[in-house]
Amino acid sequence: MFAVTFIAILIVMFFLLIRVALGPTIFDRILAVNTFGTAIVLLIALFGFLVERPDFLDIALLYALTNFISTIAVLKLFRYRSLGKAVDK
Amino acid sequence: MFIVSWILLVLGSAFCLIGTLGLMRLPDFYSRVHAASIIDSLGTILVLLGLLTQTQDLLVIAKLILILLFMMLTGPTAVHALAHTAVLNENDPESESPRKQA
Amino acid sequence: MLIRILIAASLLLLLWVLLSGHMDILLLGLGLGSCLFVAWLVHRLALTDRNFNTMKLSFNLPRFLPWFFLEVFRSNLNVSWKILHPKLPISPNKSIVSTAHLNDTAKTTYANCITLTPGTYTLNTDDESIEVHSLTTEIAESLQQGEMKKRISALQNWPGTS
Repeated sequence: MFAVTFIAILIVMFFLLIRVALGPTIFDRILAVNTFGTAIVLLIALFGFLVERPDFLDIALLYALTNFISTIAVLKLFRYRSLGKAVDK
Repeated sequence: MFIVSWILLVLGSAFCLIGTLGLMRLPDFYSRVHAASIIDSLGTILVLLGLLTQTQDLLVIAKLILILLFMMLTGPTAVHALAHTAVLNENDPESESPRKQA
Repeated sequence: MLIRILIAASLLLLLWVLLSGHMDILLLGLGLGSCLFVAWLVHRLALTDRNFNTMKLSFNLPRFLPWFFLEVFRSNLNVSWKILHPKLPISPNKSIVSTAHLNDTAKTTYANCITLTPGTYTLNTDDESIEVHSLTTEIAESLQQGEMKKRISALQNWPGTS
């Protein structure tokens, strides 16, 4: 039964990649990549259960953190053209 | 218990697929965000709850709840940051919608 | 102030033990060190955060959360139906929701809850209002009824006084 959900999430990821390639605006691409990260977190957690090694949940947790930070970082770079210095509006 | 878990997992993957269909079908960026938030909210909740009912290990349950809590907190923040940046950059959501309907 | 750092560090240490599951003296020592360091960093960051009353919020949370998750479920079904419908009956629109009488914590909670519910998300916020994008006009109208806002502002009262 894990395999069914696993395959469903793989299909989801395939179509998200198509959206990344198609996406008319840059925001469509960022949205698809952010959702792709969510799908990867679910995929890693499912894989941990599929091979009966729950240690994979640690990796899923870390990936959830990294995904959030990277989305915010890309958006900040897009808005301020800089990651380091604090720029006010 | 296994029946409940299977139902949750299948429903979760169904909602993920519906969200993806919306992401491909909806006409403009501001509508597609709604489809992505289906995957982010109910898809994630149902799949993680389905995994939660599969195990007896307390450490695993704690980690799954932490993942769920964390995604519930950061998902809206990322979506809001994205939409806000989009608004600041185009200042018109209706600018590029090929087949917008009333 | 030292007491606040110690409280934060002990909560973080609890999280460390929960996540690692090991009870060696070496790993616990490393965890204690990093927890104290992180608590000090957070203390440096959050110097101005004074008006957040955790105690009051958590008393009413058990009454709010079931309603909220039911609401998330219902709006998920609604948006899924709109997506699966062959004619795609959507009418994307923007609307303004007033949040004048809420304090900062309630405003943040409200904006986050709006975004977490599919069908609506926050575009922009200022001191007195939130700008919301909705998938259909019916969803925007039901948001204007203010059921969620009432419940979130009741979240900060003492139990029984709402």
